[in-house]
Amino acid sequence: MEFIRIENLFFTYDEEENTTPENARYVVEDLSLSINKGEFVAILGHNGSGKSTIAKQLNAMLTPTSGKVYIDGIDSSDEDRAYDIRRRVGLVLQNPDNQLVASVVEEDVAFGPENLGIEPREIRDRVDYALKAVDMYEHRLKAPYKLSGGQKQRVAIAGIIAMRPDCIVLDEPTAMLDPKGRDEVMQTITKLNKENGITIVMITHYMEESVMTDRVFVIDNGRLLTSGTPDEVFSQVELMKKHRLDVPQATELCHKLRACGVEIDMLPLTDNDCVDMLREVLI
Amino acid sequence: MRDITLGQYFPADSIIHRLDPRVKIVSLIAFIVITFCTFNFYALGLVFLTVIAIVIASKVSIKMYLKSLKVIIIIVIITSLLNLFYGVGEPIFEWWIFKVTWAGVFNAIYVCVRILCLILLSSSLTFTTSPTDLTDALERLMKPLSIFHIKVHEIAMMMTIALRFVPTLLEETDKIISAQKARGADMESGNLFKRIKALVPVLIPLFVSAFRRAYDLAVAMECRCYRGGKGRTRMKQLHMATRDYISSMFTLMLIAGVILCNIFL
Amino acid sequence: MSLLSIKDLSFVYSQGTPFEHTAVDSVSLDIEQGEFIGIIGHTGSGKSTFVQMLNGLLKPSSGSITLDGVDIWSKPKEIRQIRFKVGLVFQYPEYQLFEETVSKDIAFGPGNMGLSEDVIKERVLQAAKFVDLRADLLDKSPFDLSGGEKRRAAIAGVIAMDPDILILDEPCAGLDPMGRDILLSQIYNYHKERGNTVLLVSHSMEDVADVCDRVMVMNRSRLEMYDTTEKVFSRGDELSSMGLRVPQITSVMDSLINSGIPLNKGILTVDQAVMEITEYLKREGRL
Repeated sequence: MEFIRIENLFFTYDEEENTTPENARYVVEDLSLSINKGEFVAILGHNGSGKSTIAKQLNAMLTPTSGKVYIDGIDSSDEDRAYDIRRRVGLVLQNPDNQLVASVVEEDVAFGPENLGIEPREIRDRVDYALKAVDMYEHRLKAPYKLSGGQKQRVAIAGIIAMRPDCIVLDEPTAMLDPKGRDEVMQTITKLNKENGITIVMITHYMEESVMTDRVFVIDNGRLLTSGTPDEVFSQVELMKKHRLDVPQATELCHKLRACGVEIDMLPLTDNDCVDMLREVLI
Repeated sequence: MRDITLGQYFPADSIIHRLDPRVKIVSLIAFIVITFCTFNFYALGLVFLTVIAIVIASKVSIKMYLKSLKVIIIIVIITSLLNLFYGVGEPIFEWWIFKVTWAGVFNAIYVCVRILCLILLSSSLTFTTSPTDLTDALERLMKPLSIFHIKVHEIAMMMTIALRFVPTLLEETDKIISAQKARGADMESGNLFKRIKALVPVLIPLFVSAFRRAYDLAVAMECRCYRGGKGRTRMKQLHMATRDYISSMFTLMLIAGVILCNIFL
Repeated sequence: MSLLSIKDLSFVYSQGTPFEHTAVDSVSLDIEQGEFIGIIGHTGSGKSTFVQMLNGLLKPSSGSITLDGVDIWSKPKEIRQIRFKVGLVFQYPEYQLFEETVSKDIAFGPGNMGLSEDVIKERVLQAAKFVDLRADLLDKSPFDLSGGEKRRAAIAGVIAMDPDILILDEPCAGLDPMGRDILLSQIYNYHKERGNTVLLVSHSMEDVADVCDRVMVMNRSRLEMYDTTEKVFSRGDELSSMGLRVPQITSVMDSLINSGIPLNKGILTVDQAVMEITEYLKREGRL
């Protein structure tokens, strides 16, 4: 079942009065894609490719200059319904610090439900549930400045979960985290999709984070470059490199070996797959 | 990793800690007014004894209270001396232009005790109430003011966000200072003008950063459906308990006691 | 004589209070001129505290740091001079930009050194060149630059002091893959051209394997290993127990070797691996 539909999206930050379709600098150009309920999707692109702008279109923080964005059937350009869209689609941003409002973890997680006018006792239940879902329940009375980056980001995610969204969009959620924090957040996100069935749209430039997704969309210069399953997309190594995206060393190794004449069928995406594949070839 | 606790809140399990913060704030205001309305030593003594009782009941170490007094010790000394030397009546002894009278002595002690009471009372509030609880209580107490179109919710939101970000901004200041020092900035030496100039490489990045954070935070808040105070509920509810009613009663009794002392003693 | 000699260096935060915490515990090592050293370790292992002692920002609780034969704290009032010889670039350095123009900001460091106007101008241009900052950006406000440009301008600000030792704390943090590659190669080229010593704190084992000659491994405030890159990354199990990895390519090669395939150990980059495997296949007559 379709949850998000983008049709011929064009977007520019330029002010309306002075721009025409000819001279406007489009950050997103003629983008069309659709995402189904329960999918785990990655939107990949280098810095400046327009991917963050797309993220903000998905919860009506930005609306199309032309074209349409439909969230659960709701037209994002309908200002009166922005609130409804944001109840369905939560957005987690890059900087863990600048998303936390309150000076106590559980109060910050309660912020969203409080805005929705939920009854206090239910908020309490939702907060407890959300904190447990991200494994931060034991830190619920702590102050944000005492948490690590990964912990803060998980609290931010909990703050969204407490609003019971259908979909969570994450804009480069691990870019400012250390490897441990990155793992914690990726595990949490994967769990939310697999166990709770929440639709996840992850904006990233890290390949490793897109490997376990259902589908990958690659954006460059505001346009959709290619899309498909991770296997389909990342096997196009030269294309990835041409557009400033990285490829795991394992994939690159097999790609280069294949160019030297070694018989390799499908390019692996993980270390383990690579080892298995090369073992076949070398033994 | 500095441990930065704003307002110096010391968590403990005392009856004062467990009182409803609204009751504490209103009582503090009442106490301050009553301290200034004592007309004789008996009344002041009553107030003073009550303050001591509160300090003891708060289970916060006396050292902390003494520390808070240290801050205004200069003011206390100056005020006492002024009162000591400029009293009316027959001088006990004279030296040069300074006259010490009995009235002066009494006034000096009186003023001292008064200031003591005020400081100890305010400290007992901030020591026993977390900053979050204080802002919560202030927001709820100020609610009636919204009739006068005062944006109570927005003010409370500003206080909450400020509290949340002060430790973060302090940490960032440390980092910026280190970074500029690493480029040879000299923060320590030089005259006053030089030292102020040395703050520019710290203040500008700090301000830029603060504005950036504010922008990011505003986006994050909107993403979580923030639309101002209308229709908002609160997870944390403040409830008056028996101990709150009893302590309020004590406050009223104190007020009555002081008035009686004033009239009859 | 080593350029930088570190003996039993320790740092204890909040000494004497209940919050006492040893961040660096008796670290000793010698750093030679011209080396490119990687510093790896889990978050909290003491890396940041360690590097901040090297340029005198933090005073050691015990132990000594000897630069060019002289203890850096022998004249405490002149500790600022050390910071011109040992340059430190913090994480997310773009947050320290403040001047009206980019060139003024880059000139801040050299200015503090008391150099003449001409020399400062020279240094600014040279530093901008090292980080590939376009000349036309120099007169702009630093706040008008893109994220990547700001980062490079900030790094240029430290390079302009022309330090003998340059320390960078995760210079590539937050950059996209191509941004990382470009910056890392700029740093490497700077190192080769200038011939100075560079210390790179990083969480990316692949980056460290790519450019570093030697690697320092910090674990829970202690120095666990200090050896050539190859030797350090050959101890994969030990690194794993400290919460660290080896480069992905090294891990793949190690697994293949463990399966009984007679490949050489010590592979650190993809190109090395390609060469090794194709050579092996040629020897076997299968290529």
